[in-house]
Amino acid sequence: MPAKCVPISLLNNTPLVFDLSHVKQLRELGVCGVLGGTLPTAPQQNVFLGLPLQLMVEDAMWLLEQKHAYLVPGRRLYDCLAATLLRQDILAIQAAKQEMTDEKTRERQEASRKFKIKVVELNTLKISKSELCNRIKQLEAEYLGEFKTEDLDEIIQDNSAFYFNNYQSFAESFNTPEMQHSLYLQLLANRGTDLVSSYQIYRHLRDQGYYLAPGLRFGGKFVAYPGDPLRYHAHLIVDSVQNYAESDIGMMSLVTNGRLATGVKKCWVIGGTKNAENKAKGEAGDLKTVESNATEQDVVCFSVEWAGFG
Amino acid sequence: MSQTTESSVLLDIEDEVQDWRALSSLSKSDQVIPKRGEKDFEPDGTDFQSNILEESRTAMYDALRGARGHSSKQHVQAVFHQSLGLACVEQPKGPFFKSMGKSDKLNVWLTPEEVIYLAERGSISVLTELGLEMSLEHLYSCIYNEDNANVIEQYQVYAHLKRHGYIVMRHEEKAEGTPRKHAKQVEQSALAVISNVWKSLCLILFHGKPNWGAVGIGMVKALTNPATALFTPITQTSYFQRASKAVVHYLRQLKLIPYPLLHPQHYLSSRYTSFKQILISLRIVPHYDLFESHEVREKSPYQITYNVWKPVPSFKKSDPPTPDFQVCVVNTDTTKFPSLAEIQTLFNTSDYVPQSTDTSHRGIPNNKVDKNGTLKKPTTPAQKATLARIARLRKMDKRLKFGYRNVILAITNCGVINYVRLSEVDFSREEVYEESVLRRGK
Repeated sequence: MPAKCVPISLLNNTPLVFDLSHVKQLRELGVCGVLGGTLPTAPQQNVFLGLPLQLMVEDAMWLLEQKHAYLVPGRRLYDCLAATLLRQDILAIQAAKQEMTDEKTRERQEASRKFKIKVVELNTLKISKSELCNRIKQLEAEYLGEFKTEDLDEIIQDNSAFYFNNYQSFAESFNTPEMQHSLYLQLLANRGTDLVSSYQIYRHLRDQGYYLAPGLRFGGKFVAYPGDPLRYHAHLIVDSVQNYAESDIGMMSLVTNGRLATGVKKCWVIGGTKNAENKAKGEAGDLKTVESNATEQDVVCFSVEWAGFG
Repeated sequence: MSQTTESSVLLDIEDEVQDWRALSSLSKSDQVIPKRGEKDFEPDGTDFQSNILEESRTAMYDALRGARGHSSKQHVQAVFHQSLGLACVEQPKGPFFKSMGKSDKLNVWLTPEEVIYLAERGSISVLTELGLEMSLEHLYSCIYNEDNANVIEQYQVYAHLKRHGYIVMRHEEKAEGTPRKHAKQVEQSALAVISNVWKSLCLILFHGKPNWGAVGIGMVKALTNPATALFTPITQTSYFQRASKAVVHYLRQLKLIPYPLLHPQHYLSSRYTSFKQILISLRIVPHYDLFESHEVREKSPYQITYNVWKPVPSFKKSDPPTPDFQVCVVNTDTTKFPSLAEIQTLFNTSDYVPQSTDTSHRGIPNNKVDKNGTLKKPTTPAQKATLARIARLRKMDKRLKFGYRNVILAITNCGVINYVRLSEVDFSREEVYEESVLRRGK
């Protein structure tokens, strides 16, 4: 069965993914994105973060071009959904929810009742104190194990699917060419003029199997990994120029970027297009042309390494 | 920050993608953030490697699947009012409300950022006005604001700082503060013009100190301010100038007033009685007063977004003290490098507590301990004076290093945040020459 298209939620011009199954799907495609939300199981640290997953514009553009995903207007989708809900729907949803929590409470009560009986039984036996403790711990694991996280009344988790049963179908209703086009323009709004060249080099490196991530931390446009960044160190710090034959990179940046990249055991890669005629401007309207032209355009990359003698 | 052995470059642990297998140990027991996980150089096609990768991925997915929820004892419910863009909490419970939300008589109102942050960490549940629970996606869609293109980035910075434990509140312009400042400024400027002109005349005539920068500023000020328009005809007439020149020349020949600093006759004609006077006379580079500009640009992309405090138990959200940090969120995609006027706008809108430049004896470090471990107290006046001097110099160093006014730029790019501190230093306000040396010179 071919995998379904992933809906990407667009807020302002930020592409976000909220569903874990979609995150998995994108990762299989080699799009990792940046996790930015607080992780509920460890909320006071910044090393491991949770949903939502934020994508780079280039990620989103590539996914759209390859028809792996479609855009969904975050705000409007929910306005539409809310508008379609009737009073009885809401009551039904709340009743179902109540049912679920009641069920859980009953199960928990039952388990703790059984546990108490066993403990009383244990107390009648004549065994040493440490033995008793061990036995109680065993029982605890046996009866209450699954309720360890007991009083988490799971309120917020994944309930979009729970009450908005028709989320998926609503989202798909936005997957029309006209709608997608206007959302695409929204995605590209307020972007820098170098988007065209950065997208071209993005795709060029993607085609070679690199995983790309935003490069702000290493002073470039992207950093490129040879595989999933979970397992591998980055190899390249990537920057782009509009037209490599004409654009002046500057000797200063050649040295500074080369030194920086070599210093962190990476390699600075600068790339651009060979074809001087295709000077797309990066305006929202021009990106249509990129989609059609870019495949023929040859991207050329140069890698720069600082050669420190001695 | 940790010094990594492999690259000898300072790397932040947040800078690299970490191995999620380390998280399981983190969330279970002790809250210790793992050391940088060992990674491989490149895929080598072995099952061994792909198994580890699969484990890491599974660990990550498991962590992401983690339930958002809280104990029913601490159950807090909020209702999000779409029209107000605020969420209302009727029964606030728990430590979060000490530093979050605004309370009126009945309820606590949370801003969208606060709601999302609390919901994301599973500390509250949020309902729509219809009584439906809101998903995270729904909540995120609600902070969408047409006037503010950077809401998502701002939220990310907010959450990042909150997760670090800081107290964060949105920066609000003090409505009454601005006009008052302005009135004072006008009043000051009229006075300042007169005093500037007077000062520069005095300087030329009596100290032989050609602070041409100051003179120039004084003159320009005098000319641009209508209040001094009266004086201009007098000061500009050539008769007055010629007459004053002649007088000055005559007085100089009588050695009653000195020649200007760069004149060969200067040191013969002028008299210095202390080092300080010499040093002051050598201030020939023109400078302006740090607090002179009151310019505030309304449309600047550089505006203070958040006030940040270090977590202190005594914090009161109704009456917060001057913030420890002020953060301005910008996006690399949309924001250009700031102009001087934009930086000045930032500083002029920041909250600033004037630091005392006094040399009083308060805050002198008394930490000199002798061999017996007893605290050595300064006994002689000379010792006291030395300690006071050290304290004063330390304070001055701190001011020069960290500046008078500080703003932190949080520069974001696709969810990656970088913090940069902009601080404003004024070397001309600090007397870097030491007083004791000057005293000896007298």
